[in-house]
Amino acid sequence: MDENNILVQDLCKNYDNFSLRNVSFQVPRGRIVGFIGENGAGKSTTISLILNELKKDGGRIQLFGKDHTDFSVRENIGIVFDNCNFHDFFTARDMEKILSGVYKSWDGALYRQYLDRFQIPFTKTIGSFSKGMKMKLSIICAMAHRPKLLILDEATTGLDPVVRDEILDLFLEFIQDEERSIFFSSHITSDIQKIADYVILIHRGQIIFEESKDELIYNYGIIRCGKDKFATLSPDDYLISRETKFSMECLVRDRESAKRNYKNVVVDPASLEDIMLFYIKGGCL
Amino acid sequence: MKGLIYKEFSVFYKSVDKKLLFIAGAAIVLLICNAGAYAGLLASIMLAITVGMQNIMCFAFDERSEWKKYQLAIPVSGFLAVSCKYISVLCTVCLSLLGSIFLNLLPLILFRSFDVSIWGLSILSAVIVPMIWTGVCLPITYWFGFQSAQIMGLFVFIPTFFLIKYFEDGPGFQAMTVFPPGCAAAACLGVIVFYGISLIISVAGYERKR
Repeated sequence: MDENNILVQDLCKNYDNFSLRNVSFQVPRGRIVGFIGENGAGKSTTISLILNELKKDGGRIQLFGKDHTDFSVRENIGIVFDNCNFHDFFTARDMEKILSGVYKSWDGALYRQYLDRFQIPFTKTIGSFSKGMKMKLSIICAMAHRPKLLILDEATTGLDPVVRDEILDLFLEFIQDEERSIFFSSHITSDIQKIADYVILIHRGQIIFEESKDELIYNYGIIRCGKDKFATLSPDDYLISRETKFSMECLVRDRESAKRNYKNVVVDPASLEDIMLFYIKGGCL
Repeated sequence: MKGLIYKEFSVFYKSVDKKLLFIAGAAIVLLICNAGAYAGLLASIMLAITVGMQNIMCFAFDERSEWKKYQLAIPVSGFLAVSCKYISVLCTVCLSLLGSIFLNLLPLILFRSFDVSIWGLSILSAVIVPMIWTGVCLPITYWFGFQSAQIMGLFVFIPTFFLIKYFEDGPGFQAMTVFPPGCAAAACLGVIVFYGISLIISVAGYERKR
């Protein structure tokens, strides 16, 4: 069995005003991979290409070791988009009737169990649900056929923190058997920081980094210093610098090393959001 | 596959537009009051057009919820997805057929007239009109979007209206029921072939990728 549930190599897609250029990454089994980037960075395009909804211009995509165009792979994928794609006049019961006729491995008992757990009414129309309930139903529908891979395209965007927290806990349960994985695109970095094992940052159609979240959170740091002290820093010791109104900030890959090398500057831990902003905004703030 | 057929059929009856029902209902009542022995036939055609139109209107709801985006990600091939739509249209043809039988019973009761050829033509219309309507509009929807199909639907409706008007003003409705033997079978066969070709064109439109 392949050790990656998703393998993307040199993926290219060209539009008039936007291109995905040589995008490569992997989603290992038993892991949650967060896919972050600003709006329009190429996250949804990449997901559409993985799902074979768009035609790629180059590169290779494999799902469970098979080409992504192989139809059999879809049985093992659960997908949730940023909006609920179910008609307003349908009910959770209708969705069960529809999807149980689509997925061979549909588990009706699991579906009802999730509905009870998240208090989703079985016979009320989806149009009467709140945004949070609609997204919970979308996620339940994506998980009720016990897929090996869950692909989430901005699935927690627009939800309140309580609902997001419930959903993130569900995702953590989902990957417990070490066979399943989640590929989770979002621009809410706190969600990714909470549950992801790996983080991929995409910016203007290019992968900026693909790293372990722990590596990012525990090792990366931000040097904050005055402009005079900044002049003493070696450019090899930081990744990106930016100028604020009164000081300079530099993103460093190894904050302990930075602390050792520069005793007279402040080195703070960097959050995922800080790292993303450094890479996206670069030198300008 | 049965899941998608259920979905298509559910969208059909759950999304029925009350305005469309009201207009069709009013037209059917008018026809029954004015067309005498031919009321059942004309009402059947009206109902068949309504059924065909409602099949196309369902796409408005699919577009609103971006259903296609979701459907492309589930394990259903393009051919199966489109076939489910075509099969659900055939299910709705049963409704048209049942409606036609009911609407032909009304003149039988009201005017005590029974004409086998009128019944035959009514049933034939109940079957072939929704199939022609959707056979024209579905490929347009899958290739160019739902709004193009709405416009095209008007182009199908207008000749149907003028054909009925021609018989009303000219040779009379009696002439409608006079057609050579084998003509009905040929019409059915033609519609089936047309429906099959329409399905192939629709599948090509559905599977087209950007």
